[in-house]
Amino acid sequence: MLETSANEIEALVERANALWMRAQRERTSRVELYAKLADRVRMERGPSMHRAREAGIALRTFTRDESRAAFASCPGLSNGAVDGAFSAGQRWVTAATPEPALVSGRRSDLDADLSLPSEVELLTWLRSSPSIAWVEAGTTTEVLIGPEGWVTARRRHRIWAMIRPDGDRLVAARGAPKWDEALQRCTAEYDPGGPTGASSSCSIACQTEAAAPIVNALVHRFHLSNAIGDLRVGPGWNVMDEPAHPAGLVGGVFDDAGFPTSPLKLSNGGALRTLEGTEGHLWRRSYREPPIPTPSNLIVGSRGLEEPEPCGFFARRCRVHHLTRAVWVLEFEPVGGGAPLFVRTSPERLIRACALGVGPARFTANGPCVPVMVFRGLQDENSPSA
Amino acid sequence: MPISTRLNDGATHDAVALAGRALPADSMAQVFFEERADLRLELSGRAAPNLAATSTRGAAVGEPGRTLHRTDPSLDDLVAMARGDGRWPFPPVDSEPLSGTPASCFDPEWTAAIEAEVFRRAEIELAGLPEPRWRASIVAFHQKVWVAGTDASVVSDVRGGCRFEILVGSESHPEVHAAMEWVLAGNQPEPPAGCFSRAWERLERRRSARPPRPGTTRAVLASGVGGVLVHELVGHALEADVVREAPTWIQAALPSALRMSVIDEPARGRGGWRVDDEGVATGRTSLIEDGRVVGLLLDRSTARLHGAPPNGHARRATYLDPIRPRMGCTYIGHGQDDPADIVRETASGIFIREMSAGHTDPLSGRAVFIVNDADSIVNGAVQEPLAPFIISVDGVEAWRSIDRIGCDLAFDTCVGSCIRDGQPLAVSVGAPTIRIGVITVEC
Repeated sequence: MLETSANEIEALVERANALWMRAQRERTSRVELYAKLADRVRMERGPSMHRAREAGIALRTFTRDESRAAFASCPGLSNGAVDGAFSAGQRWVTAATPEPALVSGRRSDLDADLSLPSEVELLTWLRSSPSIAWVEAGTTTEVLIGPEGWVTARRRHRIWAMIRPDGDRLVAARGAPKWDEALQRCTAEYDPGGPTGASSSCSIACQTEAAAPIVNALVHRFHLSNAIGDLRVGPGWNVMDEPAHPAGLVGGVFDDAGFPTSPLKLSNGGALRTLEGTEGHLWRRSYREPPIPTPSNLIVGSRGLEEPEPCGFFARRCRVHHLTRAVWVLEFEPVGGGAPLFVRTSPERLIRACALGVGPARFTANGPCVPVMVFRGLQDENSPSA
Repeated sequence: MPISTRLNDGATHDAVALAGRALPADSMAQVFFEERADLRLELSGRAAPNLAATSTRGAAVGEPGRTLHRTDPSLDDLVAMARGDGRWPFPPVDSEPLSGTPASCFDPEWTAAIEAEVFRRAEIELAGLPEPRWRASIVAFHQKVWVAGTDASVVSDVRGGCRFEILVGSESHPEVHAAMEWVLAGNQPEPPAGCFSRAWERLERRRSARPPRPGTTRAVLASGVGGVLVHELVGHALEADVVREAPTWIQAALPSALRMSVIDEPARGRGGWRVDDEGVATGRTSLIEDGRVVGLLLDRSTARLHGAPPNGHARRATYLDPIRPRMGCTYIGHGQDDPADIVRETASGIFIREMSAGHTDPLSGRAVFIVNDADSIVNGAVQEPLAPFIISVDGVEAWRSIDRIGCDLAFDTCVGSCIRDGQPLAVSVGAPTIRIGVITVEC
């Protein structure tokens, strides 16, 4: 059994410190070191068990004028990893790092102690849930040593499951305090409610798993660049990035560059914000990637528990096909099965069509926490007279 | 491939063999070790070059039913894994990597040279054109794998690939662009001559394009494009683990009307392999012959269940991932028809020059594709350019309606990666020109 106890965290902090000091000796410039250790165990039907440990480091070496930093990474947690990172191709990345006065000493953001599930537990879960194709539990521990030697440590437990048949459906949850409870939480049948009947209306209502990819696509298009301009959004586009949300799959109280985090309203009554250049929202996709402005836990606002009005189409899933920068096609799968609905639109029209969020919001494996979302007027664009 | 190969091959080979001896005898257990370097170079006429180079190294050890995966193990770690020890003691700070040296990486001189060459070509080929803007990316990988079985014999394989993509547009019409991709081959790959000019021509041709009218139609797929279709519809439906879960559409389908063949030959692919990730030599796997299913894509585990020998299709995206039967280079064999005749004998329909996969259900045979470049066919002639659109294809219906196969087999006119169970893999496809009687333009 793998233990990711307090001792393991201390061991990683100690190791990261030793490697950071080695890196400082190698360079005359200031250096930041990020170390990651991920343990996970997966059981697939068959059965087939996979137990994995991934480890690596990344270095940002700041130029003398602190205007930019050279980034490199290397697998492993030994001295050789530091040497390997310095000899690998380096690239120029942001030099954003907190002012020393803001972040002295050590900060921690740790999920409670928890051991990875045993093979017997994993098998029992698979046998008791015929719809689960595989289940994976994992613990990720990250340590960041800043250029002045300050330390942040973060630990997250997460559980993932693939639900079949009826298409692949990935579900996920934070794993504290018990794995079996987390698994139950994320695989539980979820009826978010919604329209009670079809109508000739042109509105499209999306269950959470249909709405999540749309939210991701729109945030990446409009809130990660300076492309907002005079964009008009629909009244339902109320989105907040909340890095420290207790149920969020990612994020935390400090970001991957060490900045303290705080919630950021990306859209508030039509006033739009971008994540670009926003401290506290710099995240790494893996230890091989530098910290860049990225959403963490996107929360879409909801009007409450009421049901939306009957709609033309109620979607359980949606795929966003990017035909060009200006043309997207949304492929909606209907609740209850049947032929999909294809809608050709533009990102600008789509965000304007976002009419409202209804009912309880729920975290999805895609990332965002979304309620049922209703889009109005999208199908009008596809009518022959449009 | 321009790689600084700082691998200590002998030491790694010996370490993998030593770990192989520690595997339980009379089992299917194996030691898999890989070193991999990835590079992504992004260039544009308006921003500073962005180079991302990463490397990784790790092992997967065990049987198909129970595998341990670990980053950068030492020799002691590898032997312990072979003995089935799933405890992970924190490695000593001075522990030596298995090969005794840092991981391999791309040669900086080559990346500097290719960067200069791209800028030079863009400057020459786009000179004098109205407000051109462009972006280019070079994506390359180099991987070396070692596999040992219980007899401690070690087989190894070197794989690599390089892809070049450009996107050309103009300042005056920022929302219209043309994207083109090429597979670069050879020891010192270079961008193809005329690449920017060709992309600009395509951009000009498409400025006034409109999407086709939704509905069912005939389609002629230009040489190479049909490979995307058979990869999605045929290949995924003949992956042995998928077939084992439930019968797929193609197993139940009637033979196609034509004597067509579909083959998967991993060594031909842009990221080709000669030995798979279970150490099995690969070859030419016939999937369809004379319109009938004759083969499956097998790894050792599914081969045993199907009572057949494995055929070299076992792959994992990284040492952290489970093995799956995968396609390498899937293609439709040569036909007899003149491609020009195929278009000439099509009264109306669409001529598809480039498309990519949307998604596929291998059980039902329903698939969605994104058509990035196409023209209408009217009275047997290619006519107006069409703006990008979505088509859906019903496997059974489309399979039965393929009625012409050209004699112009081509590879890698559509470049893409295949993602299966979250595992990306560089693959190739090929096909001659083919005609399908029924596809549906969705919007």
